[in-house]
Amino acid sequence: MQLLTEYLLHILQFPLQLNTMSYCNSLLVMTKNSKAIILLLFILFSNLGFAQNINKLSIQITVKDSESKFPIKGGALTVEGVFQKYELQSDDFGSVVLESIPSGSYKIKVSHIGYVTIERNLEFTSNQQLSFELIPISVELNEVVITATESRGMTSTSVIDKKAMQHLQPSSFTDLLELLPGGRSKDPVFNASNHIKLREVGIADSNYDISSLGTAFVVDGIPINTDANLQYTTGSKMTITPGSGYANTRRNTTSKGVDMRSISTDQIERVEIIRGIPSVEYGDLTSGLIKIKRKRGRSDWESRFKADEFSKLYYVGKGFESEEKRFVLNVGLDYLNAKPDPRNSFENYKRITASIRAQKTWENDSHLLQWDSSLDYSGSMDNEKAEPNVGYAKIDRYSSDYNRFSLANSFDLKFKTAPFLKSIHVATSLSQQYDKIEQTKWVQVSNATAIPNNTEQGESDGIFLTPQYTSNLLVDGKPFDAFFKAMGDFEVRFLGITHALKAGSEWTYSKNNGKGQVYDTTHPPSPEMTTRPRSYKDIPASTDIAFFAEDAITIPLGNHQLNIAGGIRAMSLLNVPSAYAIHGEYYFDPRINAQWALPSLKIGKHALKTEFTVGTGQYTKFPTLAQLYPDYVYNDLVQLNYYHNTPEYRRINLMTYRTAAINYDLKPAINKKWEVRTDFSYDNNRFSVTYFNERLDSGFRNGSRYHALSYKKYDSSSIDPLTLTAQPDLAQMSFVMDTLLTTYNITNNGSKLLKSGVEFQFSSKRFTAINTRFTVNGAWFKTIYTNSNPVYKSGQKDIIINGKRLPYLGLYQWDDGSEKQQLNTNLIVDTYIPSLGLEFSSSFQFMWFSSGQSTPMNGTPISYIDPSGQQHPYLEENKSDPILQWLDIKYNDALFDKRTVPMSMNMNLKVSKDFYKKFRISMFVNRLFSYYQNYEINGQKIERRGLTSPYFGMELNLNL
Amino acid sequence: MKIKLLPIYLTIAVMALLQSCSKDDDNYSGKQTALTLKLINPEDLNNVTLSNLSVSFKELNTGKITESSSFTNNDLSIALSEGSYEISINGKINYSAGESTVDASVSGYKESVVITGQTAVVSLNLFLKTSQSDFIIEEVFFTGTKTAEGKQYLGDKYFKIYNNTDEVLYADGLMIAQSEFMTIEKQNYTPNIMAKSFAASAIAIVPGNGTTYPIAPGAYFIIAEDAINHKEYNPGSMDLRTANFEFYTEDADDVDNPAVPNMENLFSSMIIHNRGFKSFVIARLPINKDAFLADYTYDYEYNMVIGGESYPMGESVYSIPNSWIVDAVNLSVASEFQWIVTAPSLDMGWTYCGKVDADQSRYGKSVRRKVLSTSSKGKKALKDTNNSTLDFSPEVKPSLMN
Repeated sequence: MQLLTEYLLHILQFPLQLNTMSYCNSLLVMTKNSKAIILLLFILFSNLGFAQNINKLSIQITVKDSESKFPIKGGALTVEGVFQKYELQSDDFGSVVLESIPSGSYKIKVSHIGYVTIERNLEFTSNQQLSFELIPISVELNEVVITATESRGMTSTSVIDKKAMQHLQPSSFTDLLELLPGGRSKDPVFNASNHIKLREVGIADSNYDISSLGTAFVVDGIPINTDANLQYTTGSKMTITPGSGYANTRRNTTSKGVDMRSISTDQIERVEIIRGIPSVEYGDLTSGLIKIKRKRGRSDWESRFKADEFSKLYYVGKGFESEEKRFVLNVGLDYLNAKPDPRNSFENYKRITASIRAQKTWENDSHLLQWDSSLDYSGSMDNEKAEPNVGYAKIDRYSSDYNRFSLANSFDLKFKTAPFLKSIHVATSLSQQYDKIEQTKWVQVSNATAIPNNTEQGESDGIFLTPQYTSNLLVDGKPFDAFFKAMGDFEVRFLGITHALKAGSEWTYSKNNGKGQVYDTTHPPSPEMTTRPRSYKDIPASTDIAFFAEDAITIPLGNHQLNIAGGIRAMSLLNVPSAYAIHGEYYFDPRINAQWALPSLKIGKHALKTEFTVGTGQYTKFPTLAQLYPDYVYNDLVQLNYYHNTPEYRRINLMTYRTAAINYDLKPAINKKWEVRTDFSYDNNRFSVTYFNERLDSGFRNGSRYHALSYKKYDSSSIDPLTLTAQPDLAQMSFVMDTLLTTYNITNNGSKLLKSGVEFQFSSKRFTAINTRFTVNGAWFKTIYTNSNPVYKSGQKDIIINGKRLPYLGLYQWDDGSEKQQLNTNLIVDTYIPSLGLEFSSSFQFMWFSSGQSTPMNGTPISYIDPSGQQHPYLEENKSDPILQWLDIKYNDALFDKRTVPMSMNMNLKVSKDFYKKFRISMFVNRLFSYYQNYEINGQKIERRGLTSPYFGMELNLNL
Repeated sequence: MKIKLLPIYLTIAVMALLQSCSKDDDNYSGKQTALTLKLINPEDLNNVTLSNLSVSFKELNTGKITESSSFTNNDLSIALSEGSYEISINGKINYSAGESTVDASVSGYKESVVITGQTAVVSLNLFLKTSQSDFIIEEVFFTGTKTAEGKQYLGDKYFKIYNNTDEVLYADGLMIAQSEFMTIEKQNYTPNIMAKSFAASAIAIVPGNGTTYPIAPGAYFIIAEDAINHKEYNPGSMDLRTANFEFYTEDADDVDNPAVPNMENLFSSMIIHNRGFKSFVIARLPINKDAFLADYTYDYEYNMVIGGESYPMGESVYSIPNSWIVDAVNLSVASEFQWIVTAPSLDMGWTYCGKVDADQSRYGKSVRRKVLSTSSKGKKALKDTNNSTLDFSPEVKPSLMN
C-alpha cells in the first residue's frame, strides 16, 4: 500500500515537476478519466498514510478591486488540486481562508460578476498570504454602461446602476424613468407631486391613479407605505400663483402612491424596475415593482453639487468599515432646493434626506448572520404664497410639509451546512410621519351667503357669513407604519431536480393619528363646504397580512435549459369592520415565470445565446384608508331663507343630512398580466423584445350614488316683514315637504385599465476603434382607459327649469373612456475615453406618433330616477318632455374622432470629465435641438415650433 | 454757366417732387370702388315696398362716415374709397299680411366688409325691426363692485327696465334672458339660428297675474341680483333694498329678502357675466311656459379652438324667437370683440364697461341708455335706435349708486 501511494504521487508529480504549467493543464484535461480512476483508488485506500507524508497548510487569500483596492465581497474562488476541490466565497472583507490543505499544486480560479476572471496555477509549500486583484470588466472592455440594462432574469426588468445615474445627473427618482423603454426625458416638476406610470401612455385623470398607487417602491427590502396618507384639503380649490393651477390638487398624493419627487438618487446603489411579473414575495401592488438598493460598504467621502434652472442639489456621503469587527457604516445627507419658476421666489420646494445605515456580520463554521439597520429621515416642504408686491396685500398662502422618520432592521441568517434550510430572513420597520398642510385664505363672499352651523344631522338655523374673513385650514396627518416580514429559503432535491423554495409571511400596519382637517366652522375655507372638520385618529388602522410560497427549478434538457419559478401569495385585510365585503376575505395571487435557454450557437468567433421567457401572474392592491373611510358628505338644504332688512330678524333654517360616503362593496384592485420575451446576445451585443398584456378591471374610481333627501319648504308669505318684531317663528309658517334628489361620490372599482404593447432594447458592444456604444430602446404602448360602472348624473350641467333643480337623475351606461397609443424610440450614442476620463452621450428621442380617441358615448340615459327614488326606463318619448329631455345629453360626434399627433424629436447631450480621479465635472443640455412636426386637427393647423426651450444644468462631483 | 444751372435743376427737382406728391393724391382718390349695394328683403314677406332708406358706411381705419339715401328699389350705387367698412341701414317697409298691409321699420347691418377693386357688389340682409310698444332696457349694472381688499363683490348687480312709451305697461310676465354666446368668441355654431332666434343661457320671468305690477309711462323697475343693502358687505357698494324684484336660487349661498318678490327662474339661474361678454334681451312669452320649455330647446355643436387645440363641443340651451323680443343690448370689450350675438334687427351695436378682458377699472360702472329729451312733465324719452353703440353711454356711474 505504501508503495502504491508513492507510485501515485510519483505519477502525479512527474508532469508537474518536469513540464511547463500549460502542459500540465492540458494533461490534466486529457487525463480526466484516468484522474477519476486514481481518485477512486485514492478513496479506496486509506488516506492516512498520505496525510503522514504531506504537510497541512493554511492559505489566506484576499480578493481586491484592482482600481479602488477595495475588498470584493462574494468573489468565487475555486481551488482545484489533484484530489481536492474547494469552492469558496470571499467574505465582506474579500478574505478567504483555506485551512489545512495539503501542500502541492493547485489551479486557482477567482471570479466575480463584473470582473475579469483570473486563473493561475500555484504550488503551495508553506503557509501563505496571497492577494488577487480583479480587473473590473467595465474598464477592461470599456464597458461603461450609462443606460438602463435589460435584466437577463426571469421577467422584464430594467436595471439602473450608480454609473448610469451619475451620467444621467438626476434631481429625483422621476428623472430615472427616462431610461425605461417608452421613457422620454422630461423637465423636472417640483411644484407638483410626481407619480409613476409604467407601460402606459398616461392620462390626466385621477380615476386612473391605480397606475401609480399600484406600483410598489421597496427600499432595501422595506416597502414605502402610503396607504395612511390623508393630506388633502377640503373646500373649494385654491389658486395662489396665477397660471400655476390649484395649490393642493397639484401636490396631492392621497391614494396616488409614492411621490417620486421625495426620493433622492444619491444614496442609491442600484435600482431594479420590474415591469413584468415580480415574485410572489412582493405584494400589495398591481402595476410594477421598484426595488431600490442603497449604497453599502466602504467609500471615500463623496460629494455632489448640481445646479440647473430649477434647482440646486447638494449631497455628501461616506462609507466606513472596520475589517476586524466586520462592521460597515454608511452615512449620507442630501438637500434639494427647487423653484418651479426661477423668477418667482414665492413658490418653492425643499427636500432633505439623511440616512445612517449599519451592517454587522457574525460568522462561524456553520452560520453566517448579517444584521442591517438603517435610521432614515426624509422631509420635504412645499411652499406657495401670493406675491405681496402685486395688487393688494394678499394673505393667501399654502404650505405642505412632510417629515418621515424610519427605523429598519433586517437579519439574514445563512446555514452553511444544513441540507434543507438554507437561510432565514427577517425584516422589520417602523416609521412615523408628520404631515402638515397649512392653508391661509382670504375669503370674500361675493354675495350675501349663509352657512350651516351644525355638524350633526337634523334641522338647525344657519348663520350669515361675515363679508370677509381669513380662513385657516390645518390638515394634520401622522401616519404610523409598521412592517414585519419573515421568510425562509429551502432547498430540496426531488426527482433529480433541485427545488429552491421560498416561503414567508408579511404583515403591515398603518394608522393615521393626526388631528385631521381642522378649521373654524364659522369661518370655513370656503362658504360652500360639503364636509366638516374630521379627526384622523378616529379612522381605524389598516392591517394586512400576506403569506407566500415559491418554487424555482432548473431543468437541464440536453444542451437546453429550462428555468421555472412559480408561486402563490395569499393576502387579507385584517382590521376592516364586518360590514365591508372585503372583511375576512383572502385574495390569492398566483404567478409563474418560465425561461428557456437555447444552447449557445457558435457563429464566427462568438456564440449566439438565445432565451425565451414567458410569465403570467395576478396582482392585488388593497384600498387605502382614504378609500375605505372617506369623509362624511353633508347636504344642507334650505328650509327657510329669510333675509330681512333688519339684521336681527334674519333667519336661515337648514335641514342637514350627514351621509357616510362609504362603499361597503369596495374590493381590491386586481391586475392580470402576461408577457413573452426573447433575448439574444452575441459578442456583447444584446437585443431583447417583450410583448406584454395587462388587464385591470377593478381600479379605484370616484363613482356616484344618489339619495333622495326630504326637507320642509316654509312659506313666509303669512308673515308681514314690515310688522315683524323678532326673528320669524317657524311654528307660524306653513310648509310643504319637498325632496332633493342628489348624487355624492363614493369610491368604487369601476376603472378599467387595459395595457398592452411591445418594449424593446438593443445595445451594441462598445466598438473599440471609436470607444462608442449604441443603444436603441423604445416601446409601443396601447392603453385603454374606461369606466365600467354606470354613472348617475343630472344631465350635462346643473339645470334649473321653472325655478326647480332638475328633479330627476339619469343613469348613463358609458360615461368615460379613451384609447391611447404611442410609439417612441430613443437612440443613445455614448462614447467613453478612459485615457481622458471623458464620457459623453447624445440621446435622440423620437416620438413617432401619439394618438388618442375617446370611446363613443351615448348621451341618452338607460333609465331615470324620479324624486321618490324610483327608477324608470328612459324612453324615446321622454326626449320631448319639457323636463326629462334635459337628461338626454347631446355629444358632438367629432368628440369621438381619433386625434393623432405626428413625429417629434428631441436631442439631449451629456458630457462628463474626470480630473485626477477625484473631481468630475458634468453638464447636460436637454433639447439641444428638437423637431416638432406641424399638423392639422379638425381643419385647425397646429404649429408646434417654439414650444420648447432647452433645459440645461451642470454638476460637480468630488471624492476625497 | 455751369454754376447758374444748379438753381434750375433744383427748381425742376422740387417741382418734380411736388408733382409726384400730387400724383400720389390722385392715385389715392383713384383707388375708389364703384360699389353696388344690394338689399335683400326679410324672409317670408310678400309685396314688399321699401322707403325712406338711408345707409351709413363707416370706414373702420379712418372712421370716415359716408351716408347716402339714393336707392333705386333695393339697390344703391356709390363710389367709396377702398377700405374696410361697417355698413348699417335703416328704413321703412310696407308688406302685405293676408288681406291687409303692414308698415314697419327695417334695418340691416354688417360688421366688417372689405371693399376693394374697381367695382364691388355687396349684398345685405334686411331685418324687420321690433315695434317700440313695450319696455326697454335702460341700464345694466353687470360689473359688480370691488372691495377695499381688491376682491370682487357680485351681489349688487341689477337691471333697470324703463317704460319709454306713453301707456301704462305691466311688468308681469316680462322675460329677461342672458345670451348663450359671448361677443368675444365667434365659433361656427351649427345650426346658426341667430337671424331668427336668440340663444339664451338663462331666462327669468317677472311674476304676477298680468296686472300685478303696472309701470307708468316714464317709470322704471329694478331687478336686482340680491335686493339687500350691499353696503353691509362692501361699503363701496349700494343699497338695493328698494329694488322691485330679485333673482333667487334656492340655496344657502343666495339670500332671499322677504320684502321683495323673486323673479321666476324659467331656465337656469341668472348669473350675470361680470366681464360683460354676454348680451341681454327682454321679451314677452306669447305661449305658455310648458310649451316653451318643451319646444324651444336649441342644440348646437361647434369646434372650440383654444391655444391651437380644437375641442368638439355639443350644448343644449333654449332659444327665444326674435319676434318675441322687445329690446336687446349687446355687451363686449374692445380688445376682445368679435361679433354681436343678436340679429342686427334687435341690436346692431354694442356697449361696454372696460376696454380689455378683466379690466380692473370696470368695477362700479354700468351702461346706461342716453336721454333724447325730457318732457315738461319730467318724462324722459330714451334713445332707442336698436344700436347700442349709439344708444348707450358706456362706463357711467350706476344710477342707484350714491
